[in-house]
Amino acid sequence: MQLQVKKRELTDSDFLELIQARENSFYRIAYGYVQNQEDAKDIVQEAVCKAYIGKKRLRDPEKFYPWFYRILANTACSFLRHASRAVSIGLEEADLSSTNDEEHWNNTLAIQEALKQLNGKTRTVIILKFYENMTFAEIAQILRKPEASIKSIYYRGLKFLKERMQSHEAESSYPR
Amino acid sequence: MKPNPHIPVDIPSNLDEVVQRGIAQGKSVVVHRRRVMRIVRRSTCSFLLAVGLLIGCINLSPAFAAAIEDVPLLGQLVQIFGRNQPVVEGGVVSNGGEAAVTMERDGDIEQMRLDFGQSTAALYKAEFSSYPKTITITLPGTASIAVLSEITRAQDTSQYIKSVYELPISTSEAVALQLELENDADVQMEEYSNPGSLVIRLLPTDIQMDTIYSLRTLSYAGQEIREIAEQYAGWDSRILQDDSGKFFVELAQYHTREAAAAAVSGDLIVEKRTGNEVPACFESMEQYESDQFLNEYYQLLISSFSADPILDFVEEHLPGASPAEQDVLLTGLYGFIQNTDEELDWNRIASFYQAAHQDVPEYVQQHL
Repeated sequence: MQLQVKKRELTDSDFLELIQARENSFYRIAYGYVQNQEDAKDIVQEAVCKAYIGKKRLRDPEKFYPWFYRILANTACSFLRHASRAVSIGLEEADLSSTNDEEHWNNTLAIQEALKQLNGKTRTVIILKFYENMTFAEIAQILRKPEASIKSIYYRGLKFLKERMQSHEAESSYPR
Repeated sequence: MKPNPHIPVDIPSNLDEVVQRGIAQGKSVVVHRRRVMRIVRRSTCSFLLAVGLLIGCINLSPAFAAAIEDVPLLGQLVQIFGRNQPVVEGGVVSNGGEAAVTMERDGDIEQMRLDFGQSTAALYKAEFSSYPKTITITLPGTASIAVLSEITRAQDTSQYIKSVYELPISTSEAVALQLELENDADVQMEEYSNPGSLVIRLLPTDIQMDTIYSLRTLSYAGQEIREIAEQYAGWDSRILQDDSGKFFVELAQYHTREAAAAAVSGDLIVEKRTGNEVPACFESMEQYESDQFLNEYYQLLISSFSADPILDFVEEHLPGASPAEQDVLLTGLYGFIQNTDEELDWNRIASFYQAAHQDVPEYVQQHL
């Protein structure tokens, strides 16, 4: 997903264009963390502000988007930490049929609970994958980790979610 | 990157505003930090200088200690102008006078006073414009060097004045100065008599991040711009300094590129600027066209989800491009292909490098 710009310092126009070209994507990811419109908008606004302040330090403008997604992810994690909000990912509309256990994905509340227990990095990988359908290479570039590590984090995260779902299903199937 | 097929999220309609607010907030922080740094740097130098001078003066003249307590009187208000009024003028003809400049500050408000050393203000005309914000002051009959040095000194203590320079259209009879202001400054002017003075108030305001399309000339060095300005004497224009210290004439600003393009004639060009962005230097039509061409490519790179339009663009434009442009075309292409999962025609890509007489990168060679 690396998008290229000429190697020169970003002007205000460049910055605005780059942000506007992907603002929907930024919003979707922020929404993935907080699951409400107002907080998601606050996160996007804060990330844009931080990026504007730091744009002079961006050595390679070609790496703008990975750099910005990193700021966005850090801002969202920081937002959740500071607000102490137990917000999780709502997967109510998620199409997870590519997994083999489709029936396990139906209880969205349980998935939300499970996702809350993922650590920050795993949660970021899952959000970038679920909400933006990014490739592992793209996520690796954003998180500055080898692609293999990202794959491993992703599948570990999915496995964790599946286990939590199975456990939840077992609990809910007990006669009351 | 494909649109998300997994979890759809409704996008709020005011997302553009959110982005604009984020940028304005960032801009405000940057401006504030820059100001603080500038004030700290200059205050340190000024303080050391002032302490030295003060000690020296008190030793030489004990009467100086009493004199520094004098507070300048403002005089009688002659006329007050509106906030950001585009053109203000007044005063009476004087001959070869000088203007002493003082800066005063009250919280976030700054006041620059040009005291003409006579009972009425000397003839003046001040024009305010935005994108970027400037005040152009023309003072017929006031000695240029004295005023410029005074205002430049005032700039050192101001949080709103970014730079001050004398416009090359100045003559010995009429000095023309330009003050570049920070994005968050508004301007209000007042004229006083007894003593005659012009007061320029700089007031805090919200940062503007609108994008405009400027109809302008190419950039020229000092003396050439005087002739260019004369050609456009009938326009409501202004002279601006670009990011290389050269000058150009801006004839108008438009909200859309189409409107600006419709007004283009002769050697005029259209420049897109956002907020208080410093204009770019275009010394020749070739330089401008090259910039436009590379911007078009740059737009394509940030908006393309597939390599095809980029490959087509490179194929079409590479043969006619300059070596520097070829370099940008290939650099952009290389960045894109490195990060795509698409099936690519690697032979076609390699042929671009060969056509530009550049080595085919190892990454491309591996796929051949």
